[in-house]
Amino acid sequence: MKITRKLFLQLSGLSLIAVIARKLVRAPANVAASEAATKSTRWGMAIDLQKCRQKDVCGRCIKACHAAHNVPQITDRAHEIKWVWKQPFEDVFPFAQTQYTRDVFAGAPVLLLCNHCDDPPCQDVCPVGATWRRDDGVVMMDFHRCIGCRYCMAACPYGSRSFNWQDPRPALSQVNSDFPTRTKGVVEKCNFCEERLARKLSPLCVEACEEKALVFGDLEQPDSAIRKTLGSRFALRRKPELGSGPSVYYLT
Amino acid sequence: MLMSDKALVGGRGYWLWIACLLSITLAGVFCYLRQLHYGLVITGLSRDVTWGLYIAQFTFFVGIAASAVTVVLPYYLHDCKQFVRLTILGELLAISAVVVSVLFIIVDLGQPSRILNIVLHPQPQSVMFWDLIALSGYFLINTAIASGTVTAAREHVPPPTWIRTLALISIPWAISIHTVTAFLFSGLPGRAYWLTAILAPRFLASAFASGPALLILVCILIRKLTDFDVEDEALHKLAVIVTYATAANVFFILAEVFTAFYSEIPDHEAGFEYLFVGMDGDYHLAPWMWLSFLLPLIGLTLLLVPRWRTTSRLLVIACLCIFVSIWLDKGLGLIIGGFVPSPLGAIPRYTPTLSEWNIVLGIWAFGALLTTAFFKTAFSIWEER
Amino acid sequence: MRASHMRLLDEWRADVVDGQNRQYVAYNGKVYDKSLTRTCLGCHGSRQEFCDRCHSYNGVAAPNCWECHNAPPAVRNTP
Repeated sequence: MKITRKLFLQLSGLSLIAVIARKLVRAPANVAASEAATKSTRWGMAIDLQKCRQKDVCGRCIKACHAAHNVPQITDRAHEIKWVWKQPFEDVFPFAQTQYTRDVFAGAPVLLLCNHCDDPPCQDVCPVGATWRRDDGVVMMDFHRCIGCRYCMAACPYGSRSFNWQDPRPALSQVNSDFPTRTKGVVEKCNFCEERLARKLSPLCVEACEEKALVFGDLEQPDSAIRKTLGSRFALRRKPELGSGPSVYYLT
Repeated sequence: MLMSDKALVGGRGYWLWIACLLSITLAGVFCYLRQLHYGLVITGLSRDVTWGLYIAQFTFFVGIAASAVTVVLPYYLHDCKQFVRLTILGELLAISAVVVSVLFIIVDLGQPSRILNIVLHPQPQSVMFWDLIALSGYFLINTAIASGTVTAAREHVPPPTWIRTLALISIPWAISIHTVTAFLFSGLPGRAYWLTAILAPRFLASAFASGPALLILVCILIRKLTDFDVEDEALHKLAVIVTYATAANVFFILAEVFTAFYSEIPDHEAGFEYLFVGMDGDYHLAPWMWLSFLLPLIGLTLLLVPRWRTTSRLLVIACLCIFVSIWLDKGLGLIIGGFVPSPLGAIPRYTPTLSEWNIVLGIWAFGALLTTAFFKTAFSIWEER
Repeated sequence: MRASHMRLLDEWRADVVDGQNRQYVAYNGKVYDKSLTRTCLGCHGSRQEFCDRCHSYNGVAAPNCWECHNAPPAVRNTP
């Protein structure tokens, strides 16, 4: 049978329709499955700024996180990778204090990490779906799929994401073989220790803090520790007016 | 269909030009291989300024590609017969510009071997997804139109009727490619310099100024260096379009400056302040940004007076002024202004490295190579008649 | 397994990354963690023995798993 152009186009068109139909038929099934599987959980974290500054130069949480997750120690600030870090209060909340208000937090360290937003701008912009908000509130990253376009880094209003500008392994003094490293050309960030959450453990930063300044829990559970804490003291969030719905609260 | 035989015939000057472009392209390729090996660490980008020259060039050249509509629309919708050749040249330039834009995206990726993930795992909520669909479609449309028209010219027959249909489709499509490129930036809540509704109109205005300006410059260059010619009448009409577009662009910029500085909202002022005045001792971009603001005023002055606009030398100066100013604004300032100050108030200094420039030049040279081959083909066929 | 191991790796990867489940229950009831380093190579020794032996010989370019995933250094006795 001679393949004419007309026949070729018809077959291609039918194949295309078949592929699309298959994807469409499968999609609702996947959504139904994931909806059935999850309860309403929303992981969140409250950081007590008063407790956090009790120790002068403490970085236990940062060390614990970076060591376990094989985050490289890159001295060049332009190319550094950090999942959790500290910056002075004035940098994080530039308009919160004026010269007329009580100068409580001037220079105080504020712990910064991915805010695991409710409506993350990074999820909206990723062209390959390498970052997304899981049903339990954790904003995930799939390092396998990331193409390194860094659109998510442009979209993040908080500067929480880092990029592997080079192969990270030379900058790793010790490798935790229980957790993969990443490779050059992918974006990474705090993952709320989702591999520990799966084993019903709390994040490493929370556990490492001697002052117990970090409270982690399910924001949807009214009797959780974090809900009780948030109910008792005033808490700030970073740039809440942008509508991203951050899940990290800062207790003043 | 490729008619590459026309592009493979030429005098010594032609081949010298091709050799030059090829060597620059190859130098760029070599640098890119280095980047693939070491990672994007060889660029001047940083954790705070994550996009720079590459993405800025992508944005600029999508504008050049979209500007084909400034010749297609008058010719097909308003029967401006003077644009009969400029329409083809504009579409050919658009094809090279789209290729160049996509190349800039590819060199910017950290994991380019995974680029097919965009097709395998499409994300319709991402503007980048739509940008790539728009660009691919525009490339196909323009390739079809250009090859159809040039083939018809070669066979000495009138162009087929479907060309007109495709050309009419290409008009809103051209608007869409640059609008969607603007939407890449103007929907991000954390970047106040970009979070403005006027970004899309600004992009279009600057595209319609810089694209035709480039086309005029290239045509005059061709006229000086070769035996080929484009009529003065067409170029002067195109210059009028550049004039209106430049005026609109300047107006849009002033409108932005008004909103930022009259409202005195710190986040909105900050981008402009860093670019034009400098912050924390870093003002290395200020002279370039002021140049980008003053050059179009010079260009506009030259273009607004009909006697000056129709004088070849002054037209060239005006077009150069406008092209360079928009390149500085869109191909440099726009991206950096979005990233500095950073979300935590840092003022990171971004300076492209030599390797970065090398790769950029390589892609420019490749675009020039494509354009040369296309234009040579078109002109050779026209002169045959 | 030789023919379908990439499919297994893909599915396990999707399961872990999407947070569905990280455990695989074998036909005999034994539970395994879906981990390349701990489970696959935990038993099957080194990547040189288990992966490279075929991939290098056949010239099949393996996906760059080991750029990120940690390969255990020692060669252990396979069961």
